[in-house]
Amino acid sequence: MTSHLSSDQICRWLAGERGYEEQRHLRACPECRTDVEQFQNALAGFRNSLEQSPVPAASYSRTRQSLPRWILATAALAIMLAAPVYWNAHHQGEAKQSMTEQTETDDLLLERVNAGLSRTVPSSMEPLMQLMSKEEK
Amino acid sequence: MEPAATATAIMGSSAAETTDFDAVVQLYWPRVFRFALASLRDRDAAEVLTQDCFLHAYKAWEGFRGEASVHTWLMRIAVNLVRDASRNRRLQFWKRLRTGDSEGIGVYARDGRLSPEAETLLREQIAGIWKATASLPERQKSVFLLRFADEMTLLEIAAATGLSENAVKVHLYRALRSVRAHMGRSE
Repeated sequence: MTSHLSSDQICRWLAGERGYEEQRHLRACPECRTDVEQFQNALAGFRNSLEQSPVPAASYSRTRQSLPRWILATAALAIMLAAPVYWNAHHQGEAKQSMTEQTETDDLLLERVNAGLSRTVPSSMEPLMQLMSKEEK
Repeated sequence: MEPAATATAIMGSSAAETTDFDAVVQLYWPRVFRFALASLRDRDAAEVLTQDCFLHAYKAWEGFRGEASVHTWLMRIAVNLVRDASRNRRLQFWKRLRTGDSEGIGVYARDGRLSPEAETLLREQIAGIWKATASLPERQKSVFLLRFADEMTLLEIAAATGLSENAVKVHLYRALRSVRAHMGRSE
């Protein structure tokens, strides 16, 4: 056998274009058969080298949502609505307590003012007035 | 169901009959990752792309009618994502920076049956294939990797790439010619 398969013919053969002539030649020619086998071995070695590379563990964080998005959105909205309500309620309680204390203080002050106004003489003269009333008796 | 039985069921039946998406992830994650790694030659980018692939698959899982096998369907998603990633200018920038850096891939496991000379020759040929795949046009590279890295049939590659079977053969032939030239066997 004088002629061998060309490199193009071998590539076509491995690409799936398997003509009858090439098939017959490969059966008869050990040299071309070895050439094809070596190429196939190199391709298998290439695949083997890729398979030696470590593969990272499958990550579920992006392939699976832990909760549907609408649930997360609803929860966020509920928090946004509830926060001002809680804030107002908390501060209204404080305001009520503060108002009660203020009212008590005001009442005490008013009592003192009334007591001051109801005196007929200044408080410093009161002992003298008491003596005078005893002498009259 | 045992994992092996689940795997067999998924590989042998349509997705419509299979509801266990976790089993699909476990079964095909390594294959999608290796295809992405060989295509992008960047471990981080390959991992992100694999995650994206399964995220797309998960979103479409309910509507998947099983017209193609799960494997072919996943690889179609991966091929499209690799094509998009290859067009991404930022990634191209990093790829240029990493020229010659195979990120630890292409580590050939020694075959004890070969003579030292044959072992050296095989190692050089494998290095040539890695070098050649890096410079292949995108379509040729995808077809080549699906055939020789993922061992898909021509019909499966046609389904995964949207090409006709004849077009797959043409791309494969051109890729093999380039690879063989890098192996010093273009005579």
